[in-house]
Amino acid sequence: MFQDFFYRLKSKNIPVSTTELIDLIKMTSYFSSNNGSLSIKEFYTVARSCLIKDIKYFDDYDLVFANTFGNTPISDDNFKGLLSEWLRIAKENEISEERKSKAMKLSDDEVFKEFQKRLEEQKERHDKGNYWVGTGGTSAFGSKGYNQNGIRVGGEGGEGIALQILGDRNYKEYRTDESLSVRQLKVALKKLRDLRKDGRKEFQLEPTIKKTCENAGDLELIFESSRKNKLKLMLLMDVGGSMTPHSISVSRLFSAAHQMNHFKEFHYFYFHNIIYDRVFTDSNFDESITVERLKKKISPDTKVIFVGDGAMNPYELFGSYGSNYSYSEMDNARKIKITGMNTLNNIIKYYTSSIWLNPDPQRYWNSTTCEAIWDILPMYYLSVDGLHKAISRLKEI
Amino acid sequence: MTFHNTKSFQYVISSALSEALLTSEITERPLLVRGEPGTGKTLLAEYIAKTKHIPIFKWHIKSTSSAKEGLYFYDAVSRLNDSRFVDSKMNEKVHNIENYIKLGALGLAFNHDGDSIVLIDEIDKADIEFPNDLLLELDQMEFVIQETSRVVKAKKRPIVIITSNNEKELPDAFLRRCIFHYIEFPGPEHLREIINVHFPGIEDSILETSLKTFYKIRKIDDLRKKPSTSELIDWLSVLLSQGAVLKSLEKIPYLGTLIKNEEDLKNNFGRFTVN
Repeated sequence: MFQDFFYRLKSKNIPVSTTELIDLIKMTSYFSSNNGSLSIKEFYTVARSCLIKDIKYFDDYDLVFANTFGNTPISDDNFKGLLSEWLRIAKENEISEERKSKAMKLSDDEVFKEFQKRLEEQKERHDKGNYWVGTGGTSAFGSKGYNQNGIRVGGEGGEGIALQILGDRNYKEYRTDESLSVRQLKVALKKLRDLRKDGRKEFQLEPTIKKTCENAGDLELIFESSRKNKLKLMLLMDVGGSMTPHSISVSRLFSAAHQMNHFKEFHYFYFHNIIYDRVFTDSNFDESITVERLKKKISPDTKVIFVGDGAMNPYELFGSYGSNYSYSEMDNARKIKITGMNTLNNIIKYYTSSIWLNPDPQRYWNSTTCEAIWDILPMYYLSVDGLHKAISRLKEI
Repeated sequence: MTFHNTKSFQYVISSALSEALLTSEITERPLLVRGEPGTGKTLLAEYIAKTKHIPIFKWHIKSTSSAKEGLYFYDAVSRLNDSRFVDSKMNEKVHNIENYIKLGALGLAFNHDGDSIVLIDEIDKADIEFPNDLLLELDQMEFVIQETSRVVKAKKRPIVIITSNNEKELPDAFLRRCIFHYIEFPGPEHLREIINVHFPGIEDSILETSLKTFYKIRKIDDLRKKPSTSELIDWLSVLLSQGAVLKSLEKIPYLGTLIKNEEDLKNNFGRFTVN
């Protein structure tokens, strides 16, 4: 049951490792030897402080805890029994004396170390062996086996009363895969930096004094160039139409990026559904500049973040003159046919470091147009987690 | 009734926090405490020092802090200064670099004979890599002074409390070695208890009205900085010492102790009324 609990946490993408599990085992064994045992409520907090290192995982932890220990209600007494079961090696009668004597003799510390080692090595289920973690063997680890100094892994469930502490989901608002605040976004954007020492070297007084003193008075001058963020960022935002319900999350992203004053350059433009020959400098579509002009104005090493749901009528993406905003007299005269797809390819060929943020969750990315965009651009969900992923991707490309 | 004593040390510890504290002591891992500003993260360390009667070594992290600062500092400048004076006593001092090594908070705690506590305050203020630079020292509880090759090893493993405001994400390798606790914003019951500890004998009517008003302000969604426990305590101590009266639906007196952001004041001007 406890082993199961641990693996369920892992499967929820909570970063738990054997180090943390061993901490928890240490705690439970401390309580069993001193205060009798932990109540289920105490176990809840103790396990949480050992295993979970960020409040954003608290909600998932609550859910897993309720799933593991909440389905069949457990009384405190039963729980104590389960815990000591977990810690105690089960003595099974079927194992012969001869096999018992062959069982490895290890001290407590060694047992923990070995346990960790083996969990790392072991990839599959093992039963009746004498080394791997499994059942019915003489290894120091596993259940229903025999080893005096071993650790019992896993166990069976019991019955009792329901858990009340978990029903409330107090930590729901701390999840980062759903929530989105300007501050959290700023923290995410902070990662987007390109610090390099460059420019003219300047005389540094403090290090010079320190170095000179270390040289016992022999003057040594220190010159260093300062570090500045060289990162340039451009936001291209889809506004209006199907994006209206998302206006709050998009404006939060915008204000977060705008409030960050550590970018070397920050540009933003608007479009509706998809870009044709021009982008707009305001969200009312009054002023615009052509994509060709944009490419001259903003250097190709700029990182580009598109924000949009990618949902539109397919002819808007694949056909020319799909949108009324794209209508350009000059192009019309020259009879140049630009499709949204052409322009998008054109832009990402020039700005090679680009990604797309979608305010819709991934399960809605199945429209023809959205999938077509997703094919050529890495797409992420506009949430704190999504932005973190997007930014690590932007840093790579 | 006198309240001039309110600045003396008072702290109410929740059961979850004391369990986390015990966990960190038994597993011998640092306790990482997070929570809203003003919920008493830093005070926790002082509370432990006080109740256990052990010395506390504080290390307040700044954006420019480096990991080495907490361990030791080699004061080459005074050594050079001293070396200018010819004097046999001074000569002896200058000769030995050890005289110019000053231990930082961690170094002092390692060197201390009995139990001690180390507070690493606001670790997220420093560079992203900062916590990683401390991994070995916190794990092994020892470090080497490069200038003299002396090894400073903890005589007794100190309790380590680390606080963080969530400014930056801390590295996984570091988190793995910590016990984590999130100080939640206290509910009305807990808060009442805290106030009673700080202001023994406070009138019930003032307590209730101020609490209601306080939670009302916290409920305003678009505040940039919500007032927390420490602001409430400041506010109450001004109220009580000035003998202010809380009248329903009137403007909140001494609002400056609760709301510290100009924009918050401007945007919500009409909403700051006594409940």
